[in-house]
Amino acid sequence: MNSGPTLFLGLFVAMACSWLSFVLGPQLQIGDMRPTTNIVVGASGQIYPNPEPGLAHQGAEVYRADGCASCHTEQVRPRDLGSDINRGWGVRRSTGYDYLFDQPVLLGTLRVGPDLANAGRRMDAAAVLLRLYEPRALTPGSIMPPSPFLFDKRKIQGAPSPDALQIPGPFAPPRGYEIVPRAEARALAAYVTSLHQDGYLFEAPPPLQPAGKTNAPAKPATNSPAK
Amino acid sequence: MSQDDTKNRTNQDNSEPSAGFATVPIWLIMVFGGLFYWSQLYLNDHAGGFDKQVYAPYDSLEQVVAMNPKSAGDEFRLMGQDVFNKTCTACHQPSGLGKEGTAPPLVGSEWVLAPGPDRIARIALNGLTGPITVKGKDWNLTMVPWKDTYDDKHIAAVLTYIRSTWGNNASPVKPEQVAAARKEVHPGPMTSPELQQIPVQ
Repeated sequence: MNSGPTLFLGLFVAMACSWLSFVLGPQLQIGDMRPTTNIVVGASGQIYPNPEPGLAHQGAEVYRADGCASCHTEQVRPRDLGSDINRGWGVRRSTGYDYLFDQPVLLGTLRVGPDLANAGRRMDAAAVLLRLYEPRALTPGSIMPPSPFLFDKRKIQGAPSPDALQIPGPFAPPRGYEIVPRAEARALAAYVTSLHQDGYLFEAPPPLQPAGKTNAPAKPATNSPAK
Repeated sequence: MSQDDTKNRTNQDNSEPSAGFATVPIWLIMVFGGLFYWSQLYLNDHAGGFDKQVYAPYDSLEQVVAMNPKSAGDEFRLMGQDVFNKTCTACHQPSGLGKEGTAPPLVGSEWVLAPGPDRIARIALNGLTGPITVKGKDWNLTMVPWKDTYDDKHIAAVLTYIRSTWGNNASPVKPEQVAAARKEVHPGPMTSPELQQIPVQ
């Protein structure tokens, strides 16, 4: 029995189905997405998102290469689903707009470390660099692996480098030495500090405190009928 | 065993293995049919009509529209809420009730609810220091100035928000009113007696 045509047809249909639903469908639905001006809070005329600066763009490649996305996500879940917003990882859920300029989109699938969708709102470059060199310097008990290969340990010649890390306590380098970030580390820090999902969008509106409503402390639950 | 089979066995090199068909039980097909039907119903209910503007937790575009601010006033209050949540909650608390030793309450405060915003605008712009009476209680703390952090529009928005939330019910504040208060440059934080001299319209 020659089952070649049947096999071909079966494979073709299987491939065509996934292509239609995972490539063509989304392309038709959101393929024309452009930066939006439909920002609910924060003045009209603004555009979201803005392209990230060049160094941050290079940093995204370092982020990819070092596998940061294996343990860090870049997506904030909606208010009713999980505690992302309560943890301060963002003020609103992530939407398609947040990833318009990302190529590829580094969503991540596993949260060993905290979500980084709004890391730029929480950390400055110095904090990111220090965490890269020795995560436990700022967060005791952190399980993030240190990345000393992103830094140079140099003997101080003359004046110390202005870029040298200010490392506290037991992680400081020996006297006469300094830890200086390499170009990759600086790009990665620029990328992480560029991460922020700003502004409430039409698709993800903020919960507004109703006007004039009192916020008297909640009454204890009771079965007596309302007065 | 027929003669053909015997023949085939003798030249196995040329023969191909053949697979037969076993009938799928009809109940299994019906179970899969039922599951497929349910999955389509589920998709229809939860996919937001496949609208690209509808994200979870919303089920339809109408819900998204309903959650968005409906008027310019709403939008202004939202802007104020944003500023409040970023800046003011640390001391005045998200509830606006203040905290002992940190900040006096905003809820029901006569300073917040004054008919005109002239005094409260100066507090937000220049800060406040020294003893002050709020709701019959004496406070002696210092509030930092915000005139360099926020422009007139944002200050007006946050004042509008605190004057209209948690049961507070005072008139909205216009950016022009804040701009007028900003023009009177004041060195350092205001004090209660200085504020008392400003007429409440």
